[in-house]
Amino acid sequence: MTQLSSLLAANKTASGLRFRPATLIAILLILIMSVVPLFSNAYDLTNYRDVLLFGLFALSLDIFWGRTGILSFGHATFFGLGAYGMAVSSIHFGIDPSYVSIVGLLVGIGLAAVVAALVGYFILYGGVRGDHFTIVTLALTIVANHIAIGWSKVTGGDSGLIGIPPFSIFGFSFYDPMASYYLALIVLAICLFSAIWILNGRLGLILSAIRDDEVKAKTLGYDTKLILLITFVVSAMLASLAGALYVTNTGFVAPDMIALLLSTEVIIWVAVGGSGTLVGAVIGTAIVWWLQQKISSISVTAWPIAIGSFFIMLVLFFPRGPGAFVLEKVKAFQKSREGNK
Amino acid sequence: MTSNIPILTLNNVSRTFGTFKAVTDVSETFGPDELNCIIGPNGAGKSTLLNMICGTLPVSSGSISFGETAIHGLSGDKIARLGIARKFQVPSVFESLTVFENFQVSAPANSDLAILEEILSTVNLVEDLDVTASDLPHGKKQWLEIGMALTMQPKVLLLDEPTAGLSADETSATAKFLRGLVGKVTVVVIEHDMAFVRELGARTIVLHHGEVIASGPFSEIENNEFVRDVYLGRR
Ligand SMILES: Nc1ncnc2c1ncn2[C@@H]1O[C@H](COP(=O)(O)OP(=O)(O)OP(=O)(O)O)[C@@H](O)[C@H]1O
Ligand SMILES: [Mg+2]
Repeated sequence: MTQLSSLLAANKTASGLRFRPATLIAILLILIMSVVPLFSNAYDLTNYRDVLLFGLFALSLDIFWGRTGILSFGHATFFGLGAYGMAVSSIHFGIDPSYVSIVGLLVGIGLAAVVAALVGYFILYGGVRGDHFTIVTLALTIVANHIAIGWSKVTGGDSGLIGIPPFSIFGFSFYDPMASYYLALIVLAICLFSAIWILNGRLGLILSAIRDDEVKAKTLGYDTKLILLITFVVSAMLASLAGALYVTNTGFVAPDMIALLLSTEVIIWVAVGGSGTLVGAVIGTAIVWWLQQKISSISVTAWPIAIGSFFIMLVLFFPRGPGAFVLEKVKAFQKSREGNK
Repeated sequence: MTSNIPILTLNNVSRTFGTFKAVTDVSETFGPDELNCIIGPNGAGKSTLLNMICGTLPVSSGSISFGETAIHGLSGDKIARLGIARKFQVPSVFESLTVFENFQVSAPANSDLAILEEILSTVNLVEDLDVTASDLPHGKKQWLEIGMALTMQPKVLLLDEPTAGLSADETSATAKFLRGLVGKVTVVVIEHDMAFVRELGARTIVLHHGEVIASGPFSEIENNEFVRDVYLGRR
C-alpha cells in the first residue's frame, strides 16, 4: 500500500507542475525571442513584434478551442474590439496622453469581455455547442465587421482611424521598435506561462473532461456552462489585449482587424502549431507568417491560394491540425503492428 | 429514528416524450444506506427514471426530494454536489484522460489520498493508473465509472446496469461489492440479469411500460405471477 501511496503522491504533484515537453519548448522559445533584437534591424524587429502579438492572439484562441474542442470563428471580433477600443478612446475623447494607453487598453478589454459574456451566455447556456457554436460566432464577426464599416462617425468606416499614439505607461512611451518588441514579448510570456500553468492544473483536466463528455462532467458536480463561459470570456479578453497593443504599434485601425479573414487566419495559425498545445499556437503563427513572406515574394497571388487550400485540407483531413494528424497516424500504425503480433 | 426518514422520495414522477409516456406516476421512497434494485424489460423507463433523479432530464410532472430538499428542477451539477452520484448505462468516462486523471476530476479538490487509494484497489484499477481510459476494456471502464462515483463520497449511488458486458465471475464480484455497501450508502441499481438480482437479494422495484407493477423483497417479486408474465412476454 505504501508503494501505491508514493505513486499516487508523485502523480498528484506531477499533474500540476509536470514539466511537459511543451513547457520546455515555451521556455526555449521565449529565451530565443529575448535575444533576437541583438541580431535584428529595426524594420525586422517591428515585423517580429507584430508576429508576437498575433501569437498572443492565436494563444487566446487556443485556450478556448484547444481545451474545450469548441471552435470559435468569432475571435477576430474580440481582437477588433481591443483594437477599436484602444483607437476610439485615444482619438475621440482628448484623454490625457499620460494615461490614454491604459484607458484604451481597459476600454478595449472591457468591451471584449462584455460582448463575450453576453454572446457566450446566450449560446453556451442555450446549449449551443460544436458546429452551431462555430456558425453563431462566425455571424458575430460578420455583424461586428458591418458595424465597424457602417458606424463611420465613431469607427472611421472603411478607412478606419489614424493617429493612435504608441503605448505608454507612467510617462514611458514604447515608441521605438526595441521597446515595443520587448513590451510585446513580456506580455506574451506572461500570458503564455500563466496559461500553461493554469491549464496544466486541475482546470485543464476539468476542461478536457467537459470536452470528452459534458453530461458526465455535470453529474460529477461541475457547473459546465459557467466554466465554459468563463474560459470563453478570458480567451476573448486575451484576444482584445493583443488587438489593443497591435494598434498602438501600427498607429491606425481598419475594418480588416475585425473581419472574417482574420478569424480564419488565427484558426490556421493555431491549427498549424497543433491546437491544445498553447505554445504551438505561437509557433504556428510564426511559421505561417514566414511562409507568407516566402510565398508572397515569389508571387503575390500564390499566397491566398495556398492558405485557402490549406484551410480546406484542414477542415477535411486533419481538423486537429497537421501535427496531431501525423501523430495519430503513427500511433495507429504502431497499434496495428502490435495487433499483428 | 433517523433510519425511518427516507433519503430519496419520488412523488408521482412522470416523464413524457411528445405523446409517449416513458415514466408514469412513480411514487417510491428509498431509506438511508439501503440497497435497492430496479428491474423491467427493455424500454420500461428505468434509465429515464434515473435521469430524472440525477437531473439529466427534467420531470414532466411530480416531485423528487433528497431528504427534505426538493431536487426536481435543480441542475445536474447541483444535485451531484448534494451527494447523488451516478453511473450511466453506456460507460461514461473521460476517454482522453488517464484512469488517475479521471479520478482527479471526479474526486473533490482536496480528497484524502488514502481514500482514493482504497477506492482504486476496490475497483481493481491500481495497475491501470496511467492507462488512458479509451484504451481500457469495456469491463474496466464500468469499474472506472463506479470508482469515480465512489470518490465523490456520495450519499446516494445510482447505477445503471453495472454488470453489462462483465463475465460471470465479475458479475458476482459486483454483487458482493454492492451488498458490502449496505449500511454505508443508499444504492439504486438497475439490472437485467436475474441471477445477479437474486444474488443481491435487495428490495426490488419492477417497472413495466413506465409504471411500477410490483415492489418488495426479491423473493416476493420472483413469485409474483404478473411479474413473471411480463418477463415471459405474456403481457
Ligand atoms: N430522449 C428521449 N427521447 C425520446 N424517447 C426517449 C428518450 N429517452 C428514452 N426514450 C424512450 O423512453 C422509453 C424508456 O427508455 P429507457 O431508456 O428509460 O428504458 P430502459 O428501461 O432503461 O431500457 P433498457 O433496459 O433498454 O435500458 C423507451 O421507449 C425510449 O425509446
Ligand atoms: Mg436503460
